[in-house]
Amino acid sequence: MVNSSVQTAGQSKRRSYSLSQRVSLWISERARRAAQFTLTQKNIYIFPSASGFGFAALLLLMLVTAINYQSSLVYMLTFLLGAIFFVSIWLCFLNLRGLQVESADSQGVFAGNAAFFRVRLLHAQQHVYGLQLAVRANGCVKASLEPGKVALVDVPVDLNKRGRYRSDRLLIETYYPFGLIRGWTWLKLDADCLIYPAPIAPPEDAYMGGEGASAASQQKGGDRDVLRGFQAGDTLARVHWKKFASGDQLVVRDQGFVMPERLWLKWEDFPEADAELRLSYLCDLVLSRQAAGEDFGLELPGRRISPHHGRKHASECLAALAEYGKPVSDPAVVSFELE
Amino acid sequence: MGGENRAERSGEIRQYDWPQIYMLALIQVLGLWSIAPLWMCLFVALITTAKWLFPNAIGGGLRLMLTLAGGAWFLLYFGFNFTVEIAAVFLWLAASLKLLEIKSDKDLKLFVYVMLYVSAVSMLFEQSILHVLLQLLLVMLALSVLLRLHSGQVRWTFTQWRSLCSVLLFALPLVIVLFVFFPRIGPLWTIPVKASSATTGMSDSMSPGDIANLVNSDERVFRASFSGQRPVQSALYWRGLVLDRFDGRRWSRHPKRFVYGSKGRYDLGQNLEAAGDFYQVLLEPHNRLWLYALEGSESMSTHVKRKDMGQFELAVEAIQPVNYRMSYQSPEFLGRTIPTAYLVSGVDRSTSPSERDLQVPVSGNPETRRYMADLRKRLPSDQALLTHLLREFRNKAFSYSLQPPVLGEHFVDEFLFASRTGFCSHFAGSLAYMLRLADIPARVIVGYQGGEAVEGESYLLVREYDAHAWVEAYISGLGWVRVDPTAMVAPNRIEQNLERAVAQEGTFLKDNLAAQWRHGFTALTWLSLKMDKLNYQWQKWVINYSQADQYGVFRKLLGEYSLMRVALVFVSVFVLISILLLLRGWLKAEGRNLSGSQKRYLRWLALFSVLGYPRKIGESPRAYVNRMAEKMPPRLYRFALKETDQLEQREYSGDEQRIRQG
Repeated sequence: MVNSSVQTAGQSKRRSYSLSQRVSLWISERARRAAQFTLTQKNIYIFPSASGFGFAALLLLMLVTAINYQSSLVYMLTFLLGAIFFVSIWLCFLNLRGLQVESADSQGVFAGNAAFFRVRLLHAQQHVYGLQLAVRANGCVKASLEPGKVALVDVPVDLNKRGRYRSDRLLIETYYPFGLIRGWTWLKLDADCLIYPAPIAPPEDAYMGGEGASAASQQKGGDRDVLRGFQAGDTLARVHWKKFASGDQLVVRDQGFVMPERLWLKWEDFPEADAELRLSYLCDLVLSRQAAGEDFGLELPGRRISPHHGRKHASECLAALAEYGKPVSDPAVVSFELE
Repeated sequence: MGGENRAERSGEIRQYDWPQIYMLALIQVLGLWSIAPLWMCLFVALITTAKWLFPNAIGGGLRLMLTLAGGAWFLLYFGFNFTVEIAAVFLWLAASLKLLEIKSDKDLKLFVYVMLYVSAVSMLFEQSILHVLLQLLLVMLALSVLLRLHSGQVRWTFTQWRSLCSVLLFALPLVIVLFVFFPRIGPLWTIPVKASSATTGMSDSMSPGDIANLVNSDERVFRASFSGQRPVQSALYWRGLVLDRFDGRRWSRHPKRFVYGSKGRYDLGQNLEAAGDFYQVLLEPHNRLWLYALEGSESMSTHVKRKDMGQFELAVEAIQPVNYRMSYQSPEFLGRTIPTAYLVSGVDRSTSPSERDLQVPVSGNPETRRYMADLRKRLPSDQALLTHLLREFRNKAFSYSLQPPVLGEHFVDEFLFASRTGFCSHFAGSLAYMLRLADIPARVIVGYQGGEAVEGESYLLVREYDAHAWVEAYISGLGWVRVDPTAMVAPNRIEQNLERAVAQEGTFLKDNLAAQWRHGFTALTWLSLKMDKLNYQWQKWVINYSQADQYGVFRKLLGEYSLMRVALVFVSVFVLISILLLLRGWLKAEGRNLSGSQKRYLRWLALFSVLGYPRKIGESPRAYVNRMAEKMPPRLYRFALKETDQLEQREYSGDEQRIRQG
């Protein structure tokens, strides 16, 4: 970000931000947050883009050529391009006007994967061309809309720690039609981005749950991969093809450790791991349970989700893991603090 | 949901293999055919086509080689000259080479901008209607590339062309108003336009046979239209150049010429009507600086400067048709005292020494020298001497011919005392020489005489075969006097035209079969005159639309000219276009395939939205109105409820459907 930081005495208790960051934060704090926006002349900004200024320089060059060589045709071409410049201001504005932007349900991702805010776009009456959406300088996503059809757009954000984040101001811009004019808007959308802990399969020795302890110790000392004869139900991916090719029977690799069947997934199950690692283990367990279609419950300090099954239940558990011990945060503040 | 809508992550590498880009480079080959050398046209066509057909075949090494080869070839061909022509060709070559390695949006935009400028410059050299249409097509292609780059569409469809055309349509009124009313100013500075000096028409020197070659052509030189009554045919002496240096055979311009003043600036808002009679000339490009003007003319155009001895010049060579306006006063007729003579004003030397008008070679033509010395003794008066000489041209049986015999070393002697057959250059050259021998300042003027009045049109068409040469002599007590010995020998050349003058000899357009053929068929003559009319209108109103025209149009439409009013016109057009565009956006929304009740409902919904009660995306009218039950003020809610009821009733009862089908 910008390095020219201006520090003041009053700022010393918080982290010191650069001037542009502070201006940005100040604007961000004052902007109205809403779940839905419609773009009108009140929130659309229009200004020539860099290539628009380049184009203006080209027009000036053409005008000088026309004047110096008294060429009506060059005058005419200059005027034509100038008039198109003017018309494109309107087209750029009309392209954005009436666009409806709404936050869509937050869709979680696992830490380490690309995170995004999901927004829903619609223009009831017209095509909308060449939209670019971005939150901060996190890379943008492009979209074009057909009249009356809803588009779901995932706006990428550069976040990699678990938690629930509230969207910072969303930038929607367009250079339609000729790239000469930039039309843009800042919307403080009420959208969330949910980042689950990265799932990590708990190693057997980390698992100290009461019921499964015996199961775990049974396997202790043994090799992790055990070779055994093929049984009905084994997937082909597990077949040890090399061995089969060398003339033997069908043999499959067996993962040595089988998670014990338990109803409750508990925070206390992994006493030796630190908090983040525990959440990652639990996350992995939730996923495997859900995949197996079994009932399970989750127990975290201060939060208890009673046993159930299904996607919705799993999402609730994952959300609880993501939010554990963290307030909802604004990605703007987070990304500043990371520096 | 939104199956056809796309969302694409940025940062992926785009393929710039759109046909429009290649067409842009290829079609410009046609546009620059006349100014770019042939090898370059072929080179560009070749590399562009190769890149189009095999986008991946041209790798880094080959690309570098092509670039170096193109650059070296260019340098070898043009050297380090700098003219607009070379700059335009260079830009085009560079842009076409850039086409080989377009890697980013930025590269592509640069390419498009350069091609737009090349389009502009190409129109300095070529102004036909066809060329302008071609350039318009190229501009459309350039814009289509920009549109495709910024509309986020992968495929280029008919819809995009349509929206491009509609942009052009909305721009059109603004273009017209800007063209008609944008203030035109004189050139700021100049760079030579053309390196090649291929010129047509009259040259700046005159040997005895020169003009006779010129009159073999029926090419158009210029067209002139008069504000008032057109002068009679015999008064139309279009002065071109003053030839004041004689080397015994050839008349030429003195190499040291001086320039004086930049007179003739046309001030903003000057009243044209008050300036009296004027004429407007539309000069075909002849790649020279000089212009043709009647005697007693003053420039009324910013780009035309008055030079020494009443000559007029442009700031840059006329590589395109030039339009200029001159005020003039008919010269005074002196025919009663000296035959064919008119008093010419404003042709004095102001900066160069006046002895130049008496310069003769030290030796040569002994017989003429003797004759003039003798005559001077007998007739001491300048006026009497001049009159005598002119009468001699008529009395001594001189004849007018386009095929005069070839003359030897003492060509004036041979012409005056032996062959006595010649063309206007013979008569004018020898008369001026004789006058100088008698210490009367004299010079040869070359230009055009007469012109063909185009039937039904107010203009006069002057062709190469109207080329002529005559004499200006300084007679003490009178001043500069124009005399034309040709008029004494062949009066019908001056009173009618060349065709009549050489009718007996049958040499009109003798060596130019095509021109003869054109001239012979009435239908073809008629057709060529009709084409000439169309071209004339195009050149007059578009290519040569000048400041003076601007005032004329402004006064006709809007009264007195002032910058304030011009600004007002611009602003009102800006506003008009804005309104039209907004209206179109509204109509587009309205015109969609909606039933009347749907439109009505949407209109009310827009109002609710403005009042702060927007409907959510995908929310049904009923769900919306239910949600509004607590939010809206009761009266508004009741109204919304009524509208929703009506909508549902109409939409689902089926009546609406039947009405729309019927």
